[in-house]
Amino acid sequence: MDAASAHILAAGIGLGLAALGAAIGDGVMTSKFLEGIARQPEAQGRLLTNMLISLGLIEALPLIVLVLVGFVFTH
Amino acid sequence: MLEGDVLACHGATWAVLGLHVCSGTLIQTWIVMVVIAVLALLGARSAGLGRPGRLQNLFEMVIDFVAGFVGGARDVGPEHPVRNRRLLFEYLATLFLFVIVANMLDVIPPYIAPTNTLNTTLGLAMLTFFFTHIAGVGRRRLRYASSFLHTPGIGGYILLPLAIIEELSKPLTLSFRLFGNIFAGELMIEILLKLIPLKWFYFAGGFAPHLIWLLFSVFIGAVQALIFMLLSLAYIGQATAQPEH
Repeated sequence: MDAASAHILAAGIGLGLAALGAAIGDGVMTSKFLEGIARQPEAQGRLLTNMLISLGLIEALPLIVLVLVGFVFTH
Repeated sequence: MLEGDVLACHGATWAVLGLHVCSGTLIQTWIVMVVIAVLALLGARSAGLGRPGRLQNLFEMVIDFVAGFVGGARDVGPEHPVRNRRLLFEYLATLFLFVIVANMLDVIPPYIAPTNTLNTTLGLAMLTFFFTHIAGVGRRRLRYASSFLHTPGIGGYILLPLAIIEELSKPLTLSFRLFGNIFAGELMIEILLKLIPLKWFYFAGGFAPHLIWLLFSVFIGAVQALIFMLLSLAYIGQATAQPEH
């Protein structure tokens, strides 16, 4: 295997793992959010805001990996 | 500064006083500033005792939204001076407005958001970094240095390198988060349009998903602007908090 294909393979594996982790995190967060609504429907507004914030924080991680992968493997 | 395919400049590079300026990013930043200034002037024109206009209502909503968070940050210090809170509020509102307008303009196709360059986002994150530490020193003077010792005794000194790395990684993650989101959004649009050639019988292939993704990127842009502002607030609040003992 030459260096270029190894780079592409590494980028793909890294991105896939990052997406996997973020997906698990999203799932856990959303299930807790739904549990929270089921328990206390009146708290939905505040929970939604906080969920969106943590959604952004979690979703950012695979994108940071994407940027890093692009930065490292385009050189 | 940073070079490479991903981190390249948009547009030509201008040499101004020995600095390399990305002309595309600079012009887009100016466009954002003009849009905000014009909207704010139009909104404030009718401000007064009369019935508020639509733009004025919009601006008051945004201002109240940001002020709500800053008011919530009142608890960080027992005698948080109001003067500083106003400065903090102005800084955060500026950040929020700039980032959100830049991300919204991203939807217009030929326009590339200034936040789609690491140069801009790192600049904004450095602003927060300096604001944090200047506020910390200004508020707590020399005792601010002790806030880097997370545990009392010798343990704090052993963990000091970690605390410093944590402090230095804050602007890095802050800038990469915003840049990564906007960059990935634009990359996705590009890929969706390239994936399937744009012909009439392929209309559903590339164009329709790209429209859906545009809607989603509006949402992402708003959430990222909010997160950028909230994290800045959290960092500044952390630095200016008085320890409880």
